Amino acid sequence: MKEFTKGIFKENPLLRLALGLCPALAISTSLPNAIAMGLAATFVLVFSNTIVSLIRNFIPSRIRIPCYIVIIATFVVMVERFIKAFSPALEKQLGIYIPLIVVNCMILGRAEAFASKNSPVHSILDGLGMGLGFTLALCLIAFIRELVGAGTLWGINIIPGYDPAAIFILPAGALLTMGLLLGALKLKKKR
Amino acid sequence: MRDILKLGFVLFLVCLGAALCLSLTYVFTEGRIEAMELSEIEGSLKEVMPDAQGGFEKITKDDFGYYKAYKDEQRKDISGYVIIATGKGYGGAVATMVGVDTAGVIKIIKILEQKETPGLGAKISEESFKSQFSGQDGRKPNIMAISGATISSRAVTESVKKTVERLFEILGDGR
Repeated sequence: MKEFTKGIFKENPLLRLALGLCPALAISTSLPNAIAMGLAATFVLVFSNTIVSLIRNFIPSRIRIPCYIVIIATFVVMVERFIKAFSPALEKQLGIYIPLIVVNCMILGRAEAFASKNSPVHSILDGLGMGLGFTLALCLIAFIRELVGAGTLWGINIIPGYDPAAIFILPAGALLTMGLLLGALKLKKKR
Repeated sequence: MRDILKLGFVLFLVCLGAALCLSLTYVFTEGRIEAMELSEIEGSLKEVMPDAQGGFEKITKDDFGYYKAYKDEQRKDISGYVIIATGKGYGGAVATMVGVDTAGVIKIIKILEQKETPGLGAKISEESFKSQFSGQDGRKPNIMAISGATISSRAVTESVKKTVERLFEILGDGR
């Protein structure tokens, strides 16, 4: 159980370990995007963790990184194909950031730091927890950015008559939101 | 030496497994992806040419592709043409689908693809900009640009104008 919950709070990949920032900054413009990105990354993370953990005793340590990358890339391409087949609109929204999950350091990081040393069951729990933590953190950033930057939540207008601050939808807004969030968390921990 | 062979063999096995998974996924999703893409184009065509009851036919002439829109099932009379115009916007290519009648008057345009700035250039996808095109002669459209997004607006207007001009050039020497 500890393996599961640690990814959500104590070792949240995005807000505590600062892993996987690139997709987080790029795709957190709206809540639907954040959820889709989070779920896609979680799927890849859980399955790559499982496989890496299952074959951890057969992989010589000198070629472990290429092996992990091949495994991760395989699942990413599978996700991409399935999204293309079942929701082309979503595929257009996420665009290049789906294939870029391959180099999401959160996934390689968990394979290297956790799954290669622990049993499959623990690795699945770790993957689920980390994935969920990643998704929640993404949603938090997207919530702020969509609300301030577009005045909407899930595409529905929340504040009538509000003139949106478009900078929050732009990349600069991502860095601002992310930085303030990280700072706030650090401050809270210090007290 | 034996070590290298062993490493190579393990890597080979991992890649073999990956290739197997990928080919299975490919076979499983191939048909669906193709059908999805086709129905998407079909849907867009209907959107920009609502009165074409007889369907569409893709024609390529002198490296220029366009769609003929048929009025009814007999496929004798055409109600117009559909073209895809591509221009260079602020954030990359902007692709616009345009439905024109046989005289070159624009019916409806639809932005297929754009990566313009959200809140500024991305407004080219909004009705208030797009609807300006409807009813205008595609060869000389008079369009009010979105304030703060001149490049994006011009990308659409110029590419539409050029592509409609090209279409009628091609049609002109066709018959």
